[in-house]
Amino acid sequence: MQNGDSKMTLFDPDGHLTEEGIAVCVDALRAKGYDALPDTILTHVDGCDRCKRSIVDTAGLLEVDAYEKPKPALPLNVADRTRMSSFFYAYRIAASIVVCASIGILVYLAQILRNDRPILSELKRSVNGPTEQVRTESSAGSAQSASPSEYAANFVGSPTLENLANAVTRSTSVAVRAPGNGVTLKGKIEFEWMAREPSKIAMEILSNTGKPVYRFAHCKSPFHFNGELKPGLYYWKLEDESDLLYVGKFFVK
Amino acid sequence: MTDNEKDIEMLRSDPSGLILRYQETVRIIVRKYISSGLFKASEFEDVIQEVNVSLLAKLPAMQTQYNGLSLFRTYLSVIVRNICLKEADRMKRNPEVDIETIGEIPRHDRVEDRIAVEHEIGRFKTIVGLYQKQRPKLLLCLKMRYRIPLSEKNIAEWFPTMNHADAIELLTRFGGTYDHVGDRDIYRALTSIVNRLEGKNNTPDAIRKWTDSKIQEILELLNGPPANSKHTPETLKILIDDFFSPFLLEK
Repeated sequence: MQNGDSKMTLFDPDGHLTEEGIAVCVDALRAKGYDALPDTILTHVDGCDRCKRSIVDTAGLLEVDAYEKPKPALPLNVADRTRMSSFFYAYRIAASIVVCASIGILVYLAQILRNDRPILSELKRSVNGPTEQVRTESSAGSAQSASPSEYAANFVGSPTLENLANAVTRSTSVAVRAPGNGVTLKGKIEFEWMAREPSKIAMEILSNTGKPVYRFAHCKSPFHFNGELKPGLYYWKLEDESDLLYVGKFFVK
Repeated sequence: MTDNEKDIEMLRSDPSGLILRYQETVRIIVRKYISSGLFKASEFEDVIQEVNVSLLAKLPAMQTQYNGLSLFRTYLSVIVRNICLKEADRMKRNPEVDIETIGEIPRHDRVEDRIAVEHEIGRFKTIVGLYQKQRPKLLLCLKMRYRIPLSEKNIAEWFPTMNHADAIELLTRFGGTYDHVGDRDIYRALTSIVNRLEGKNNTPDAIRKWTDSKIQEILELLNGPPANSKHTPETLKILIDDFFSPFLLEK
């Protein structure tokens, strides 16, 4: 962008940044490229409180937008609202049926646990030692099929975990060295962190839908993970006895 | 086609549909201004209605003025922000800031509070990012004003042309704890560094006033209007400490 062009399109007759000029600055800041903007813009913002405030406020609003979970937008016209009301009524009935069925299944499983059948005894016997490895889901995470759309679905993030992973995470108890957030990994994975109380850290790897895939109690750094992870997005958490210390994410290709 | 390209296409072909598409963003922004006290919760629907009416009226101007130099989502957020501020002016509302919750720095031991702290640090980072030309001097003055130890990395990033002897002297005096050093000595040391780097002849008093004025500017940007928080020079130290913390993971 030439300096002359930017002045023509991004400054109003009063010499302040236009709405698009403010938006350009916000986008540049979020992309960590603010210093590469034309000098006319940088010099103006350096000395203009009004434009600075607009940029800071808008950047803050976009951060809030990123944290909010997306909800379906209500349509503006009444006819569409009526159609959506009917849909949501049927949806509520279906949801009630699913909840009742789930409660029934949970009651049945509770009865099985009380009877302590042999297969569950074997599972209990397999849990031993100070380092507890519990596979709570197949190592495929959520990758169960090779079809393109299902493969792609394994890379779609969980809104809640994305918010935690994308927050500039800080803990006074732990500092993570590896893997970097959002990196793509292959083969063995090494997890490394510094902790004030290393003996009390547990680590969990979750699928892109938030389901636990591996859990390791009493983890020590560096931790060499040799388990199988099919291609997809994964989250990993560090926790102590009472608190969540860190959430990160990585991709497996 | 990316989302932004779809937005640009819709701005031409179906601008009302585009406003509909961004209703959730409008609601989030208005909710944010309600939580900061600019509007009352009971005014939510009225403000949304007013924002939509203003957006629809502004569509022809947006079609001619928007050049695709920024993301449409960001551009729209700027417009919605301005409409909200104008609406608040029209209502002549004085923001009712909840001092007990907004003024505090949240505790660090819950995930939600940590996210709130990181959000404040993010806003501080945005503000510091805007001082493009003065940033190295600003960060040096903030660190020394608040007695935060300097590091080799700071010197290398902020003053790559500083000569080695000066850098060693700076790190020797201010690379560890120096809480006991008085303001007079701090500003004397700062003045000699800044004058050497800028080729100027400032006095320690001028550097102190400059530092204080920048701190005031930063506080005004953090606190609003519209009201966002109630930071003070003391709570700013906490943000600056966290900003420079080695445990802060850059994203």
